[in-house]
Amino acid sequence: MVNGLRGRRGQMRVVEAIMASLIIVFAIAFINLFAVTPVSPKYESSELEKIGYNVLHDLDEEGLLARFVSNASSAAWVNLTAALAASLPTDVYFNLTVYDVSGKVVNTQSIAYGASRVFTNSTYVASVTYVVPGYQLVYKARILVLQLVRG
Amino acid sequence: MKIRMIRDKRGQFIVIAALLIALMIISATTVMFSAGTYFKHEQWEEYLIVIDGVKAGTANVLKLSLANYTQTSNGSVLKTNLDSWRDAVKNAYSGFGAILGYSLANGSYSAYGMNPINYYLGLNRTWNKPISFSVANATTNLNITSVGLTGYRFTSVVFLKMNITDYALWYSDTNQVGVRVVMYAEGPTMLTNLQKGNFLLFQVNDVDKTQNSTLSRYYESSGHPIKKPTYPALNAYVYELRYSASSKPSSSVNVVVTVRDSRGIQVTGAFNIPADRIIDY
Repeated sequence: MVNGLRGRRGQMRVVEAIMASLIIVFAIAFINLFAVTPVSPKYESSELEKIGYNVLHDLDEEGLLARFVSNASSAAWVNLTAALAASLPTDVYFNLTVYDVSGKVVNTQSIAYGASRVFTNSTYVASVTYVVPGYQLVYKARILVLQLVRG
Repeated sequence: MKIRMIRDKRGQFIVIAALLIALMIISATTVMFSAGTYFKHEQWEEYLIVIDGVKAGTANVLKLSLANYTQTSNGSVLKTNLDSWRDAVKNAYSGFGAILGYSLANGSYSAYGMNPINYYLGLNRTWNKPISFSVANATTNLNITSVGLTGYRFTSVVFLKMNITDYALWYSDTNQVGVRVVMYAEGPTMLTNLQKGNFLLFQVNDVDKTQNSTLSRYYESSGHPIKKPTYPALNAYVYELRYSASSKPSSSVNVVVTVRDSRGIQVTGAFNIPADRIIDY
């Protein structure tokens, strides 16, 4: 009889311990659902890269990107700036540099939105590289480097 | 009193064992959670962006090379451009260690129901037929050495097909003949965005009717109101080029149509439409 009681009490403690552990685990998981963690620089940068790539890809699909880049006129850079500003979220600042394959900068004027200090002061700047092979019949590759910062 | 102490001590051992088991379960859960969310900490998005960018760029190289080939007949343009593209990718994504290789379709292959297509250096144009097409085909191999990705292969095909339909239409009220054309791009998807300006040449019995013709566009389904005789609906998006004629043609009509799409890719089709295939609308 005594042995029987001993065993039962021990088992109850086991059950209690397991239940306590489960309550702790569930409590942590539940709190985690509502936790607002600070944005990780890595995640934020990755998110901006995705946005930047999608915008460049969309402009390329519409045939605008290749046209602006191959045109390489002052008006083309202005139009490209306007197209990027219209496509990107308003709180995202950008700076686009167009290079030829030898690494020489092609754009004669700035293709940017936001002050330059925004990029120098920001702790994380996302960078996307996109290559435009040419326009219409002519192969003339241009390497686009788009830097993005959330304001 | 002594019996209770023994009882309590025995129970405590079990509690310790249970706590250890609980600890193990929690540890295992943590490890599994870490393994499951590992991808978030790795820069997969960057690699995917590189791969997507290279794929989109390669497709663009094929498009402009095919446009060049169909307009200038330079048969080696795709090879030349892909050689340059390989170097551009290497320079642009040097930090990733991106290395691009490619092979061009050579010999007989089939694509989008056209069989066989005899490629030379990844290009083919089969023109001046009722079903005419222009096509470019290359297989690309991408390595990203910084993450040990090797042998990522993808095939890019760019395609433009023209089908001059079997039947032409005679409009007795306006004295016009309607020559009907269906256009396809790769996919195969029907091209629906062509305008009159995309039809560079519309020639009827060796007479250029490009300027003196009109273009109407419609989707021909089974409900399309053709008066007689009945014929199977194309179930396709039709471009109809109409030209004026003094009367319904009594002999066959030889038509030549050249189209250049928004990508600059060109195709020329030709068809000698028998008189009995010109039906009253």
